[in-house]
Amino acid sequence: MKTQTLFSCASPLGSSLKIVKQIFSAHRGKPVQRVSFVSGLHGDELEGLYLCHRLIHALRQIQETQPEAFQGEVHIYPAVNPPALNNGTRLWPVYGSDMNRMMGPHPRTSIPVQWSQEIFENLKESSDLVVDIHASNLHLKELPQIRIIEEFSEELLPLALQTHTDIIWIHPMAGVFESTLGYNLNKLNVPTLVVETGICLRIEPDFVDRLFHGMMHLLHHQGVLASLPSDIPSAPSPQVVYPRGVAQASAKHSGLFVNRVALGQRVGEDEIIGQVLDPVEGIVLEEVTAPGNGLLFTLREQPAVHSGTLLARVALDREPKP
Amino acid sequence: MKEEILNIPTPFGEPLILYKNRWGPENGDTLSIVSGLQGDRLNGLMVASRLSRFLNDIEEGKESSSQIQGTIQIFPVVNYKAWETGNPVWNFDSQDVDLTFPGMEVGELTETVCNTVIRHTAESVYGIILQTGEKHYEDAPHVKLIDPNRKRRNLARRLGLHIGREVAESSSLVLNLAKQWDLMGLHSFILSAGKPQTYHPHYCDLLLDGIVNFMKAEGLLLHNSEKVSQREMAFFDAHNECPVLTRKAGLFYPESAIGTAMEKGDKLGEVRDLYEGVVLEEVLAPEEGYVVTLRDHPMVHEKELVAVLLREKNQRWFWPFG
Repeated sequence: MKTQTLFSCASPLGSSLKIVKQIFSAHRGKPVQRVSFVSGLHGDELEGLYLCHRLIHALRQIQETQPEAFQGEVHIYPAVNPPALNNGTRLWPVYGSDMNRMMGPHPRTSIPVQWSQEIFENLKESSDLVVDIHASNLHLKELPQIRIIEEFSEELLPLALQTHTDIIWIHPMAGVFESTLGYNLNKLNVPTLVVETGICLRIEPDFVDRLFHGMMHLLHHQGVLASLPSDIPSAPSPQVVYPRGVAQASAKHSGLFVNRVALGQRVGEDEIIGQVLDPVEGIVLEEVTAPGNGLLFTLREQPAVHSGTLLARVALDREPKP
Repeated sequence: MKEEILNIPTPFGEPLILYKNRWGPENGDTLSIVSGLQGDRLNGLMVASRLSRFLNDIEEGKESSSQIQGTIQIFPVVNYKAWETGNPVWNFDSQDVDLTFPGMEVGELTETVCNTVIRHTAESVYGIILQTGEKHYEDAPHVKLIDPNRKRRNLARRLGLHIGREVAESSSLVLNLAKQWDLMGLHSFILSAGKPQTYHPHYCDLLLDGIVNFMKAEGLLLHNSEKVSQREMAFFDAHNECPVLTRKAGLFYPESAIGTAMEKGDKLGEVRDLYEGVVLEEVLAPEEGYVVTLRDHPMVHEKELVAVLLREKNQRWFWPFG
């Protein structure tokens, strides 16, 4: 494993900011493929850091015991937003900038913009496939899933199927994606899978276990690893859902949402999944019901909700007829 | 006339109510003015309030020399929840409102707020956004334009600020209100002056005077005796901006002022060591230009933006007889 510093700048306090990546090179000759894993664009999303740790740990072991297994190259960028990670904030401190809204064409002005652009350029130059790992925000908890914008689904779906996540969600394009890492790399023909899992500021070891196994399978499938360690189990294929195959429940009232189900549970249409309560008057404002039959893959964790707030998403067993 | 445009109950207290003020006929050519996109930009709030009083006085006959001819609407506060805390964004979602447009009619609170503004301004002919410099920067008063064709530059001149500037293309621009207005066919202008968290009475006078002049020039306001003043403006394309970055980290002491012209090699400031006070770097103007933005926060990293110069040689003048 080789450690490379991509970008650094001195801090007025005396230390410096650095982006570090770990490189596992092919044992011999030209790599069959170069796969990159990137995590920590948002400084409060820690699941990806744990996943990177698992990958680095496992790949180091393989390199020590079975170096000839490396037919390709792996680049791991475990913590690309150190100022935010060290402060436990989603956004880059001092400026309050979102690094995942600064990818693609952007005037190089503030430090976070320069930093984002460096990461983007480095990934573009050194990757044939990228996995961009995110946890959810403070409000929602997610089953391990890969999200794919519709226009890239033909190329990305076969790759995503190798990762054994619970869900692959193919969704429509929206303006908010135009400045993200995933969208801009895919636009430049660097296939990029975007992982969402868990919730920010927490680690769900079981979710990361599944993702770790999935990513090892992906490396094997792509020929980067000639063989897999014996302790990597096989896993069931993910459920693939298209835009019309996802139904969501939103709050109709503002209040306190208390859920009655667990993430990953199968729910039936109109089954009660929680309540919105008025804590001041002590009344139930609303019984929240499942919007369809299927797998509950997103669930509200932050209880304070306004009317319109997303409470749950269900991957439907059957798409509704148009 | 103060009108409620959004009323959403909050989970634990009083409802969140957004207002607009509106004057003039129902179906006239409409100018929409928006301030308070971030919860720390005071100048816009003050201008909106003073302008509202001025227009109310006209409507009530206290300014008998003026008449309102067109439709004028002012949205003084957009990110209500951020204003409650004095932060640029609402800490509940850390979402920059000006990266959330066009929002959604039914969605998370910030999305709903943005969509409300979009729906209420969609039929307007002109849109003005009142802004300051970004966090930690101060702007000389100037007007920013998206897609600055000749008509728009001429319209901008009527706003009375001597500097016009093209908004640089970026991947996140589509999430800005100004860009959404542009896509909907409005002539949109961003008036920027001063810095966050600070009220600058002189800048507010300038902005107020400029907006009133614009309303007169466009026939939205009729004045019996005062003529519309014809003003000159220097306009700068986005690619003619010169960002000035530090080479050293430390404390930045500016030795220049916004709104001044610099020769190549003139001193913009210096960076001194935080611990020992010694001068680490003299920051010089890399070329001649007008200082439109200057760093306001002394702590700077290496490669930190401390000033933006508008290059004199590429300016295009718009004279009052154009």
